[in-house]
Amino acid sequence: MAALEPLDIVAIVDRVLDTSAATVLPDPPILSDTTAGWWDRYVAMVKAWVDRMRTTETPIVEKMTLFWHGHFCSSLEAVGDHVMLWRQNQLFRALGLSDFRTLTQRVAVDPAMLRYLNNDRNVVGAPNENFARELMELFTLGANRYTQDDVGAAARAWTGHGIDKDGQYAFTARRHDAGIKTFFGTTKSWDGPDIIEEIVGGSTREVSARFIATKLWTFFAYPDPEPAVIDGIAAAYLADDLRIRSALRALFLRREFYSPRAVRQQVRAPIDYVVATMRSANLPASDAHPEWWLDDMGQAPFQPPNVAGWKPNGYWISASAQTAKATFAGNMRWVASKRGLLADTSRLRPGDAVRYALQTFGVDRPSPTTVRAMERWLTVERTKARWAEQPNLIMLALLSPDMQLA
Amino acid sequence: MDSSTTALTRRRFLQAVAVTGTATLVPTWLADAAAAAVPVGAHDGVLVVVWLEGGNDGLNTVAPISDGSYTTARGRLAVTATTGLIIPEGVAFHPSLVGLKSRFDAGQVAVVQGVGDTAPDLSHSIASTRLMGGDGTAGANGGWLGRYLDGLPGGADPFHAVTIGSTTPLLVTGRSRRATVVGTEANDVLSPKAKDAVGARALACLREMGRGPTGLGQWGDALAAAGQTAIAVSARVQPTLNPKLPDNTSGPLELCARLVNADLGIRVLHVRQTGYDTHADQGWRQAAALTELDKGITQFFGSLQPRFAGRAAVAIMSEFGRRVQANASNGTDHGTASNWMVVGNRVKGGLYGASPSLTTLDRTGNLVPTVDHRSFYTSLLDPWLGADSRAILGGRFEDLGFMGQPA
Repeated sequence: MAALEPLDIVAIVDRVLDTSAATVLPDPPILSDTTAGWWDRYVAMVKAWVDRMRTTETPIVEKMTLFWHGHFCSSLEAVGDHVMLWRQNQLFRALGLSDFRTLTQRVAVDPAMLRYLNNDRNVVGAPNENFARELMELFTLGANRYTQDDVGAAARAWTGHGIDKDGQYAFTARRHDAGIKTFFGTTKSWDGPDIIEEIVGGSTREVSARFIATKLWTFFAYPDPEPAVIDGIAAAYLADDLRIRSALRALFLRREFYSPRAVRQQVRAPIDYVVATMRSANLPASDAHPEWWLDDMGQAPFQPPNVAGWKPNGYWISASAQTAKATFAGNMRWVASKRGLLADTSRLRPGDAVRYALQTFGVDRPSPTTVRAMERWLTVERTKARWAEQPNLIMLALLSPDMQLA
Repeated sequence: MDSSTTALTRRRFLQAVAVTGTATLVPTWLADAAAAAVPVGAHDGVLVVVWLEGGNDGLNTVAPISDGSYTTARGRLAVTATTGLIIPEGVAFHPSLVGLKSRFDAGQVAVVQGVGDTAPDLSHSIASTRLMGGDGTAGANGGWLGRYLDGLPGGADPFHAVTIGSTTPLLVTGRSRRATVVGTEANDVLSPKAKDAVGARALACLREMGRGPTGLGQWGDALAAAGQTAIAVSARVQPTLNPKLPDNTSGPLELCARLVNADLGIRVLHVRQTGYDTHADQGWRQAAALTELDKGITQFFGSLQPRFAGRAAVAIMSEFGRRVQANASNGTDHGTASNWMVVGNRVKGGLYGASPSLTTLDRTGNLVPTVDHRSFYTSLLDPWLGADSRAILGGRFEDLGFMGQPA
């Protein structure tokens, strides 16, 4: 990337953000089979999504679907309804690059979210604050940008917005508190959607813009970005009526995005690590079984650990996550060997075979430490157990620190 | 540490890895780390923290059933004299806590009522970081048990503290040290079988690759280091994963018992349990979660070897309690003070602290805590972990006196 001219980067970014070729992802048929088991339905969802991530020609759509899944969290375990979680996933796919106002409004009345944060049980007279608080703390503004009185008012405003017996969003007037509430200093008869408009498009729109810009930058680059970075992204987003695509365009065009602080300086989240492996090795989900490994690595799709979602970098590093990756790589070596990956390295000299293996997994500039260790291993292994070259070259490449960075 | 202890530990460690067929490949640093892992001494307490994530409703865990305003506020959710497991002084355990009730009757459970933060916050993340921080900040200096690890002698041994799962919570993250994360699955890549020479050579390559510096930046180095720790951890944890752990939420507490039994020098263990954010349908949700908790505690003490029975205690905590007044979803919203517990046969059982008033509430309709959370920590740090609570917590807090000496 560093070698590209600025003009090239603009063209590439625009191409990445061009989602006109995006296709509809069919719903897994098993979701309409009410007799199917919990796990089978879950696995079908994971496989459908992971395979889409692996094969899509518009990767930004799936990147943003994953981003919003970690942002507007809902978990299958808490919601208890596969179809609701899948529809939410399709919502992120459809609106993930639209505008933040529309997306937030749609998420607020999305059945999975209504149920996950109990807004479906939020009724006049005894409001349930769960959604109202997280809406501000985690979804739009950040902690300490509102008071407990604002939470109470927002909760009252969202009363009556629920789910009908068919699992669809429904507004029930008699459950709604139409009374006067004071929110962010304004006293009137607030309704739920007014609250979101006020937060993202009204008095706190700039706070909200910076909050989202920071979260996006953290997801794509690194945490604690320079203030100028956030200023730039937030300005582009505000200038284009809260469009997420414009925020992303500004983000990808920042000089800092191509700086040494950003390039290959991010720990791959488990889903990214597994998908990168599957893409490089050309392994479909039916062979790689992502559902077997992701939970132990710390990132089961549709099952974020809590409403705050996943965090970057150090969050993914632990002895147990490394152990889970070793289990994964130990299995993938056989699956990928069987499909012929790295079948022809024995004709190469050890150093070249190692570099070729790493390159196969997208590691263009490996650490000399990695190459030296693998080269030494391969030189010996060829004298001891030639059959082990192919599977263990795959496994060691997958477990190199290089492969675990994005 | 005298040399005989060191030698013993080193030898024992080398014996342990010999079983895995990797003895000749043990790098010096690893043997040194093993040497630093002095077994838990006869007078060293081990603390297992069970963190109930989501904010456990203390009022329904240890219910003030004789207080009329409790029944009024909670309505159908209230634990009653009929459903509750009555313990002395007009309070009752939640009906799910059968095992804890019998331990309470045996004088092995301290229930501390009204524990909370002097500056309560109703956000999960802020409340958790403040309570885990334990120094009045929102985690600026790591967690209180992390700072306890910082002060332990014996180098940066990865086995001073263990957390079961896949991430390290602030609670056990210090300024310079953090608990090692241990998973519940065995692994034959990192711990090849004795006759697996091909596996041993691949493992040697992994070690060399991870020795660093990688030249890949801070995260590349951190991944390499974590890979090395995973190899060391696997060698020592592998034996404790056989037989297979129960495939339910008791699994992590069973693993805790086995790790304590393995005498690896672990002083602090941490497990998290979810399902406590009961904004709706609290009746069955909390009952299910507390049943799992109760089974896990029973599993832990059932598997603990008798020689450790007097040295292990389990503390049960959560980021906050819940609103006094139930909401209309048969649930409760975020609150403040809660009941925390400590279980073990060296615990001086009974009720501590004071049950907060249910009628004189703060402006959010929540309980006013009667016990500063740091007082709870002081009561564990000084007598049980032999630490200086004043340095760790940044001030002197009352020792509630519920812990005996480890034996």
